Amino acid sequence: MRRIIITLLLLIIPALSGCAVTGEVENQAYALVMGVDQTSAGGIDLTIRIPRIGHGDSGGEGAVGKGEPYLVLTASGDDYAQAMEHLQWAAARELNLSHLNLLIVSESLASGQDFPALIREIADTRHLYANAGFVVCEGRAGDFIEGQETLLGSHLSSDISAMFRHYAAHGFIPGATFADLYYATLSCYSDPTGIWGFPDSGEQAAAAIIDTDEAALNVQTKTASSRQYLGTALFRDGVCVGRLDGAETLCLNLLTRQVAAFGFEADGRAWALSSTLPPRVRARRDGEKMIIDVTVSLTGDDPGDPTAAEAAVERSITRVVERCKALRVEPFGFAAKAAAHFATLDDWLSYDWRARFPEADVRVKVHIAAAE
Amino acid sequence: MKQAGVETAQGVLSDDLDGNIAYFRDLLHADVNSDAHFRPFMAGETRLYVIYIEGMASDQKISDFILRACAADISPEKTPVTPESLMERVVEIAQCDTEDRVKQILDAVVSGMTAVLVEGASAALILETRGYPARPVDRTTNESVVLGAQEGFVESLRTNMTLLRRYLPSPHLVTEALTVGTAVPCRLSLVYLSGVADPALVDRLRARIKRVDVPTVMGSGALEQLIEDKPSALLPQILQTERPDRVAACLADGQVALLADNSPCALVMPVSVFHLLHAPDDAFARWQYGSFLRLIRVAGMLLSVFLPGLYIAMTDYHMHLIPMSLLVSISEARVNVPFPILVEILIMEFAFYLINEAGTRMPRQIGGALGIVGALILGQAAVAASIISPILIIIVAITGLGSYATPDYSFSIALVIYRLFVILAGALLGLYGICIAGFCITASVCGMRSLGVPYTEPVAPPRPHNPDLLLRLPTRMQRRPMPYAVQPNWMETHRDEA
Amino acid sequence: MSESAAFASLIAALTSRLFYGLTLEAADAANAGWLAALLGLALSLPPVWLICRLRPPVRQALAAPLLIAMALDAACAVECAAYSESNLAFNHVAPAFLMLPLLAAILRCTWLGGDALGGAARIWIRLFAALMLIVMLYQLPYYNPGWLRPWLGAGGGGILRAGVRAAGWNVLLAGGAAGICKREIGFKRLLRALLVSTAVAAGLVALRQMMAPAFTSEPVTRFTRIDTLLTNGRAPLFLQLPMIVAWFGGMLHLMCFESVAACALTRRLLPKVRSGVCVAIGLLAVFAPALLNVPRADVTQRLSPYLYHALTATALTLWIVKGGGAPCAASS
Repeated sequence: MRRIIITLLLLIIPALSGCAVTGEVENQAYALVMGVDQTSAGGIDLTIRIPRIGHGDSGGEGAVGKGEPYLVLTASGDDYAQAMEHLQWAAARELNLSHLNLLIVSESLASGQDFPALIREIADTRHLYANAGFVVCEGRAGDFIEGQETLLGSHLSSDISAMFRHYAAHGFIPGATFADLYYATLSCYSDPTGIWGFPDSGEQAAAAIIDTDEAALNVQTKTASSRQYLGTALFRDGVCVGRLDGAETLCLNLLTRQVAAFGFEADGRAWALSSTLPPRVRARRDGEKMIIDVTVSLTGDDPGDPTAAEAAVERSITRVVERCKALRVEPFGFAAKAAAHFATLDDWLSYDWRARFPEADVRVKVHIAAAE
Repeated sequence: MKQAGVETAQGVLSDDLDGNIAYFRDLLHADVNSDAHFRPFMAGETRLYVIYIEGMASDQKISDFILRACAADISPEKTPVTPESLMERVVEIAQCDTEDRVKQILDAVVSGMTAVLVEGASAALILETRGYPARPVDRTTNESVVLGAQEGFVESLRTNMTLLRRYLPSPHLVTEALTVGTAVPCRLSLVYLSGVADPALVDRLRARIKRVDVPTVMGSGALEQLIEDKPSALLPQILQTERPDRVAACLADGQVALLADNSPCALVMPVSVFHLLHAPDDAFARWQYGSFLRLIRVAGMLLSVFLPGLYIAMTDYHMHLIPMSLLVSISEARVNVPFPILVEILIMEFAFYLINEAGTRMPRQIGGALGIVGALILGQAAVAASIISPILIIIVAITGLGSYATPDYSFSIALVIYRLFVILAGALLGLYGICIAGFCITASVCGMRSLGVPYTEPVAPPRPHNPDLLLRLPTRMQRRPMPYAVQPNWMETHRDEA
Repeated sequence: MSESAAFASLIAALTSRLFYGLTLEAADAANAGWLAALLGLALSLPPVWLICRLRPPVRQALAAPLLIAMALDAACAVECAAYSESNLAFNHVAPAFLMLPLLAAILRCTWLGGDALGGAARIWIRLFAALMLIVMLYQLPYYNPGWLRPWLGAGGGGILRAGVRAAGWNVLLAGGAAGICKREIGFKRLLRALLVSTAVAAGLVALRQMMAPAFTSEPVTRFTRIDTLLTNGRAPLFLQLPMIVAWFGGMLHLMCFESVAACALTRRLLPKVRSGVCVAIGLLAVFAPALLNVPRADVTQRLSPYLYHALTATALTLWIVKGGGAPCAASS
């Protein structure tokens, strides 16, 4: 009897669990990049880039000369859900977002008041595992994706990952993922950031890079790609309110994490610097005012006196902090330190850090040590 | 002769020689049986009969040490011819005894010994004259090792016992003779180290053998199935080994071994699942090498059980866990394959084991052809014909290698069955199914016992043990009590003194 | 079930219960869930001690409430595991159907007996440690300790609510372990199991809170909580593999422990009934509410925060009315 029951159960389970409905690996359309735009009628445009499977040229090394290894699909809808549904139809295969490397949103959409709601809606998308880089771009995201070229001749996915790792390590872009944006939008700590993307059209790119008063921190690029990722999109309450260029992004990164290596000019001398340790951030509370002490430790290759360089880097960083204060955004991660001075989340929320950050006293100290 | 039935061969001899001979002729079907010999001869004035089976008993031994000795030495005046006097003064064979029970005499004769029946005596002389052809001690065929002894058991129980005695020359080594099989008994030898093996375990095994109620038992494999704890379990609960050094090591640890006549394998029990993970030469290698090789082996076994299931679960349900570049390669390779991944895996698994089984059965002379069939037809041609994808060949190859790395043959077959279970679970329910399957397998293994001892001991339930389960730590750390041995025992006393 | 098997099984089940409870069911403490786990331990010690001190005939009276709570809690675990799987890969399948394989596994393992489950738990604890080590090593660069601040999270009220829920699970599972063993399991042993489980669960809750901040701008759905736990998005995606194994492995141990405990408690309640029938009744008590979706019912949701109160009140009443004083075997 016991065996009969067990056998019956085992026979019933596969039939009931709907397990036969599986999606074979080759029948999926893997979106690697997704762009989100707002249509003129207030709807949503979704653009995805998927590798072509079954033509032996899906972005592999051997793809050269065999035609375009990727497909770009676009679909529109009244809202995100409808656009996604239309995209499913356009894909003609099961659309799979689990390997999304990049989520690109147009600046106009990211700056709209409805964007926080859209972030939640995107996060709820099935099979979006949200480990994608988050980019805010100039112009339409769809056009941005169509103009995206592979740089190294390998898969687009590894191409983008390698590029972002490289840029992030050197401090040119923030290490922004969609998950960071989502979490920061829903929580009560520092503001999220996005990677700034723009078409590489000569003057515009240069303007985005060299936008500091003294051009103290210079980042110059020259690549074959027609798309550039450099700088930071700043968000306040889930809405894009401004941007930092490459040099400012470097300063932002110096305040939040380690930066591998960067060039710097001060007092007529060129310095090759790198941060060997993450910055040391301490928050003190003085009445209602928060005092943030930041110590940035750098290593330089020049054995000379670093005082002038330290002062110049401090000035650059302070300028970025002031700029963010002016925009009323706090992308530096100071909130988590400041929150330690409050007992509960309610106390912290009633303190309203985002509103008070412009009054906070941020004291930046830079140390440059000569490399041994 | 006292009352005896032919079929049951019970009773004892009478002092009527002709009656006895007639009875034995009847029992051995001598009228039609061409190799049953009843050789009459005279010792002095006394009639004697030699009963033996041609081929089983050595003609030369019978001629030289029985017939010639009796002809030369017997003079009725000084030596009354009785079995006892023959044994004491005449016969030049070391191993001999008197016996009056018909069944015992018959069993001795059919096993190659020679019975001498004496006129007027109600007992027979049983003489060790076995001389049947047997395979000499040779290298092991299934449990090859790089380091350590190379010789293996053979089909002769006597030789096997001798081998064990050589490895464990101790007066405490007990080789208890038993038989199993109600109609055609099979000779067994229950081997253990007295004072080390737990008497309760020995008694339990003895009782199990006694409980066996089958007409005949053909070798240790058949016996294993009759005395194991849980016949429905997949994993072997008794270790079958053809290596005398391994059996000797187990005996020294307090385990019990069973040798069966005509079987080149010993049965060792109780065993834990960890015994089945260990290779015979682990103990001969330095601990670093032993640990490293054991880790490789365990990883191989885990891969052989879970890899195809994981592959199907990840490609059907959890694509995000596969790197994009690999995913694209898999997709590209599968585009022209007409079957779902489950069918593809099952085809390859079947083909692999078909080749495996064919390789085991086919004559060695045409073994090369199997390589061609396997490599070209089932590998290259199947891929070219888009029946299977190349990545699957890699998966099945790794799985097969993992399977071959399993030291115990029975264990490796059980792992194959578990693998099929995991494949189905992965295909039906993805990683969720594999977790459920893994849990059920673990619980089943933990619920098993070997000769009444938990199968996952000493981990579950926990017992003090040597650090020699998955890793093999230095020998200076291997000083814990032997888990199966009676405590305290003379082996430990000697070690502590040393 | 032997004492050592019950001990291992209790640790595996309770760790899983506390972790899944404090991250999915009782997230009231927000980012101070780990403090709630510690508070739960403190609150659970008196009733567990009380249960241990009850004389065996008196303790018999505790079997009925324990059985009801155990069966419902097991059903909750079954429902949660099926729901999380539905979220991960089978959203085209109704969670009720996903429960069937779980129930088959529970049936199988309950039939194998408590010692098999205890042995499996002992092996699971080692595997779980290895899996968590892998996860922690890879997540290390992504942990944000700042998200544990403010230290008191949702405040005293939230921590207390979550702590009481945690204490309820502690009392329930420890009481179940006391009823599952062939021999009396002592308070000291239960205390060790509670300490180990709470420490591990509190650590895991804290680590999880360092991977995803407390959401303050909108109520969080269970869907989002499972997503932040298993997929997260901030760490490499392949980490989902060990996370899934750890998640479902822990849940399976919890479900099986509670099912075995339900069967054992049924046996205590009905000593004259054959053990096979008791097992069938115990399993039915788990399966029926799971398949009938009782865990999601409004009344269950409303009553579940009072598990601790109910069990403590029952134990206290029995102590006062019928008297206790018989020390546990191992604690004497």
